[in-house]
Amino acid sequence: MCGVAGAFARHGTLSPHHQDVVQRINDWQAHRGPDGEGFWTSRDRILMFGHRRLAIIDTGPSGAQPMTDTTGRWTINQNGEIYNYRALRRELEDLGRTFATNSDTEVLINVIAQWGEDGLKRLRGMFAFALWDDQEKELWLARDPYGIKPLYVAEVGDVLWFASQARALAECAPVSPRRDPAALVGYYVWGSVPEPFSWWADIRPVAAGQVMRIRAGGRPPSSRQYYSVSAQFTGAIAEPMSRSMLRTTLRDSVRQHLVADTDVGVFLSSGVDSNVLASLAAPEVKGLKTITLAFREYEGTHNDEAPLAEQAARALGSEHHTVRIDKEEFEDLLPDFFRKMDQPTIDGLNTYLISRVAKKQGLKVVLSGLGGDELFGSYPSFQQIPPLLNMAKAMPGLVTIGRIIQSASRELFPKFYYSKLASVLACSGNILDAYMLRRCVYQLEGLDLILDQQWLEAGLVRLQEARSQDIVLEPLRHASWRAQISALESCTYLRNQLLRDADWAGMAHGVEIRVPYVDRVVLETLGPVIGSSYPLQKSDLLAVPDALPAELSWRKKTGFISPAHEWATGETHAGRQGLKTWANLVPRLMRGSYRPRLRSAASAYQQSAA
Amino acid sequence: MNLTEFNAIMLLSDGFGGFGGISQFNKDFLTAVDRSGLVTRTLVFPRLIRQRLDQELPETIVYFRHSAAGKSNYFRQLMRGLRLSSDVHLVICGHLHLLPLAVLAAKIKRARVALIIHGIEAWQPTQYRLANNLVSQIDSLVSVSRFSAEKFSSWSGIETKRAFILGNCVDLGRFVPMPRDTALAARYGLGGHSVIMTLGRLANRERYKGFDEVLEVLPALVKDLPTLRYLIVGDGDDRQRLEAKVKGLGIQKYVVFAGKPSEEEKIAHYSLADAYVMPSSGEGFGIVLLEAAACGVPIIGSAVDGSKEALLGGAIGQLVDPRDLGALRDAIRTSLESKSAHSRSPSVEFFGVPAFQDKVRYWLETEIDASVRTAAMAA
Repeated sequence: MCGVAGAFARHGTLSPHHQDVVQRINDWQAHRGPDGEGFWTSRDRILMFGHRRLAIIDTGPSGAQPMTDTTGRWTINQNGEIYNYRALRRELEDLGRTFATNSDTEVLINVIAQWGEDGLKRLRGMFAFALWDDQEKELWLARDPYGIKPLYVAEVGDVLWFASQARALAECAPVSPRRDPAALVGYYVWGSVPEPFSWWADIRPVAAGQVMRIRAGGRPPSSRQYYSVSAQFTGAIAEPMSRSMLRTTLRDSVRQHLVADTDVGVFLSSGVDSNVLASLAAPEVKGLKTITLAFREYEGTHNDEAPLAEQAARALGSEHHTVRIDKEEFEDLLPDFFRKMDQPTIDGLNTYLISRVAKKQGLKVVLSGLGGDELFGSYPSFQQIPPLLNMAKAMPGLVTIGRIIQSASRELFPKFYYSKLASVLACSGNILDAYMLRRCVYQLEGLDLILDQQWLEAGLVRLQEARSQDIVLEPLRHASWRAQISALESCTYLRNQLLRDADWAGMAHGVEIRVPYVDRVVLETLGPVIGSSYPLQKSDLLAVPDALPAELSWRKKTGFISPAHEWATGETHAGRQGLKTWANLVPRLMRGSYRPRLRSAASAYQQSAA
Repeated sequence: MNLTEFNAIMLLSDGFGGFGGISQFNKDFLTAVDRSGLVTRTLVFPRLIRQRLDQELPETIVYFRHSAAGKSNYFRQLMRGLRLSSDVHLVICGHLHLLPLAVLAAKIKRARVALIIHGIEAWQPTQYRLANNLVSQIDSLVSVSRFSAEKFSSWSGIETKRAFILGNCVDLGRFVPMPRDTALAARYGLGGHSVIMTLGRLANRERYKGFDEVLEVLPALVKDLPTLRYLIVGDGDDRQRLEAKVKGLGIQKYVVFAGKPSEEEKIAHYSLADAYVMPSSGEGFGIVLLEAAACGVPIIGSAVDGSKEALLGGAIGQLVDPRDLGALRDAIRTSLESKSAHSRSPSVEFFGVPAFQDKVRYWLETEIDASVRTAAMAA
């Protein structure tokens, strides 16, 4: 996994000035690839690639990037891993293709050279790449189906800039610092900036599962959605999935995700998802390393993840490390945390902290249990939304009553009006409203105290025009609630928050986080089951390993438990209100408004207040 | 690291969407508050506002537009805002007249209250007794000049040394020296003439900009300098009187009333002037002096009001006592004789936007520290 940077002149050629900017972006992204850097300029000087390398497969010089294939036609600048590269290579060799290296990157080039856009559907992995076709004078930009790996573009005049991190473009390329109102509104609603927007108006992500092709000479670019995650949640499965089939599917994914020429570890919490991963990985890896992050404040309490994780690790026979962090250490890390944060997000802290531990343990690659909840229906949204929608269906007029309650409370009971409770009935009419209510940090109704009317109006218009969630649900018009919620969680929360944060927060320490539950093949196998009358449950997942500590099975899902928000905001019960406070602070802290001078005073205040 | 929220509310006459010096100050001030990164959010309650703002607001600033519709509505909206907003740590009062509401808001929210004073509105007790009496309740005072702070002190008892001096700022990227706009010069019949200029509201109630003084020395000046013209830029209810005065002095040929230019045309108007002359007696600061100076125009300003500070005690322009007409005449003559290409005095940078933002940041830091200290003591 690496850092990608570049510039493409749609008209004319690039100058040394452009080269300087690409160099600056590369330097900015240096933490993404501490093992090396590379530059490449096309012969006609219309394209420049900069690359930072985190060497994981074919770690020697032959795996370096940017990489040109043996024919000289294709040059690639890639961030990610292709797990099934060995199988693809054998297939390609049978077709007469030759290879000069042992890297997955060269396989990726040949997949495109052989099969064109259709080749993207054969890839199993996480990737975002820029690929130059010197024969057609065409630049390809593409991202994996889930959007695990990021890629951002900004068009300024005749030059298209691109990079792995939006902030690298914002800070290094000649991009306007203008804020996107949709990003601003989206951030306060969802807690992260929703695609297809970025925090900066002139920077946008290449969409997940999309391939863009841009020709030199100003011909209009084409972009195509080559894969839809939500479309996988359809299908007609007549019977429940057997546990052995589920086990085979997941074991296969874990095996694929272990492909590396370096050690691979596992982030182990007290949750089921990570424990299942570790149990599947343990037989495959000699001396598997497992890592748990714990907090001093929680030692000996129900929230302490360490004891259960340690117990599980003993059962697995893994080399286990529990690292406890305290408030002081946390405060020292915060400035770096906000410097590395790519776009504002209310999450990412735990991933940032645990990736740091992984790095200290000498790990470059770690498996994470992200994505399990989306498949096995274990978020509260799965339990709460369907009954609400069913109730509204059974009682026509409920939504209208809800709207009346909502608008009446605006002036009469404003505190109630700004609470989620006031909107429950009004949001029971359709799944998008209900989902938004479940997930939101701030409701739209409460945003008039947070954002000026002008930002709010402009942002809402842009968000509505993008219709991102309608697009997610389009293939699922007749699907079950369960399938629809799985799709929404996978294509919004997972994509815009969990995966994005896993990328920058892991990369902040040069650690690649791999996500076996977020996998095209797993999705294609489990998706139709999730859409069927026998959707998968957490209990199915629990039955996958031979033995898990019994406590895991009945442990209540604690979600994202960390005292970090409490430490940060000084609020002792950092529930929903704490999250709002945190959401308010993040954009400001991202701008680097640190005041060390005040710290002692502020903490003295907090202690005395507590 | 300051990891707690620090929220402010600001009560003001107008800002974004408004015109004039105070409005410009409020815009610059709120922008600086946002840029400082120290304030999580500032809720702003404007008394006057146009519905649609011509520019994007800084993203941590929220305007309560509904408040700008009459006094009782203002009060209601303020109360609603206070009830719904989370913690507020600082109430900034942008106009002395709004002080009673600002003090009330600060009491409700247990916040500090800071008052900003500009010029003549704070030099004497206001017509509102309550506002005058509540001055003693302020925790912090910001004044655009020491001069205004001294005048304020003389009746309020708030010591001048408590005031944080925050002069207006000028956008040095926008106000730049430019060659004379010949089309505009032709519009006013100024081609080939030496031009002195004053820009300001022609307000019957105020009459402190010094138009009268310049008109009074003009007959003597044009005797020696027959090509001289006086360009009066601005409009107001005092225009008729000034026009009559011009007639009375028999200098119609030498005086041009330009009316109020659009904001875009303002800089072109400065470019017409060979000297900017404003022998005022009631300026709290005199931002126009700095705008003209930023455009490279030689300046003659007043030695007896806030202008003296805007001109850094004479470093940016000549200072004259408006009561001394002889000195004023000499200053104009000297300035026109030493006619040189428009070039900006480097001292103007002192009032540039970056310097202003640094000052606001510094002020906010002291406010936050004071607020944290107070809270810690209370706990």
